[in-house]
Amino acid sequence: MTNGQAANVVLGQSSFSTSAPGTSASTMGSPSAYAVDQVGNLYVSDTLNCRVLQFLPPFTDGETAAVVIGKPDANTSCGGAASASNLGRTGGVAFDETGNLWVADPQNSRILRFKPPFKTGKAANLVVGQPDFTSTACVEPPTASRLCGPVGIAFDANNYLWVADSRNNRILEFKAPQKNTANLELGQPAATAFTSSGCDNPGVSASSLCAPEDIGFDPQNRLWVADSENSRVLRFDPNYHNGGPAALVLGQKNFTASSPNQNLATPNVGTLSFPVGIVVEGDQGLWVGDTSNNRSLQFAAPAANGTPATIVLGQANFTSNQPNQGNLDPSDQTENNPFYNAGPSVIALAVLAGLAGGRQWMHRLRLRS
Amino acid sequence: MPHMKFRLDVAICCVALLLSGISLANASSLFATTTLVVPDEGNNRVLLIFLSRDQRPGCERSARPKQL
Repeated sequence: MTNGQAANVVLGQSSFSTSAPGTSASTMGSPSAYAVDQVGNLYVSDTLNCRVLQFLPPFTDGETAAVVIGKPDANTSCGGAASASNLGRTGGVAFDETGNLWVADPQNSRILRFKPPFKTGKAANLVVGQPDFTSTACVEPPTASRLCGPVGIAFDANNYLWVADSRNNRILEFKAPQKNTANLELGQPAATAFTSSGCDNPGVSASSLCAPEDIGFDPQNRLWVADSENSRVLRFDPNYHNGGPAALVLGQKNFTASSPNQNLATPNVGTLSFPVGIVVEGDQGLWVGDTSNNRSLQFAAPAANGTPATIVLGQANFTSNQPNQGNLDPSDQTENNPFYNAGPSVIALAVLAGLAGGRQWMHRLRLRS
Repeated sequence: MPHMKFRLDVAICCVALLLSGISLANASSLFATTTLVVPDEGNNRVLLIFLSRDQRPGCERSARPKQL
């Protein structure tokens, strides 16, 4: 693993040097998240097409999606009223332990659950954050039953649903999603639990959040949060309680700082700028989608506030941050606003390499985290 | 019985390969790879980046003819 390592496969484009958006079974519009099911199929949140695409291994450049969730066919993009089968712009995607697919629909301020087997145009069988499949309001003040622009989704070790309720600047835990009432909240003061929504309320601290975009759990059941507007990543430890503080911060030197790249002219190995993605890599640490720096950072087993990153992808070094490294067209070594999802994400693939002139064939795929 | 254990490993690997429709000649190229998936939003694409490759126990040994 090296800094600036090149990608091996590209989906959504026919080659590494193209970047045009599209609405078909092999093109995408600003994909922002993904999840992997129990048999190794890949699900991509195709955000600006308001849909989720299913890809089957072995993954190949420009592969055609097998299933479209959220639209009636592969050539239909956003539009129409919200329903159980019509999504708005999509956010995070995740699988629970029984194989249900959960999709964040931040445009309609809701989370939808789809039960397998999946087929194009399939309807959801549960909605969280709204009273029914056609309601989309973002209410103020919030409640324990209403979401506003939710993005990240994750399931903890107990298979409880957690949601980054981004525009309400909070994280919610749902032990029983079918009841559509959260039982725990982070990011807002305990005294106003479930009824306040301020950014950094009442100030930047270990207990505050501002536009949290993504969440993930590590093997110790610790919650990692991409606190995007504070340009930091927070770790909350178990024994969670309403308004509880984080135990660790990355991207900033302390819990009261919030400036992108720590107010420096250029990024460095310890700074972040509007991170929106978290990938927990088992016991190996985590990856952060450092979005406005157009790079992905690996933090190997961070144990102290401000721990520096260990690997950078998308850039040649830790101090550059231009989209596609300043080039007009992308390549297999560049990134432009990288995102991640909240579900199991770093995956272990058994790959048969070197056949037929370098063709790679995936023999087996299992979840790593 | 290290020698017997080795042959058992090879047998398991051969069965796996045959079930996959792959000949033993290609056994040396069987790797386990950890992959990072990057939704590269601004480029309207998703990247798969193979982070590491670890040879699977048994299979890598079958690539050594003198030990067969």
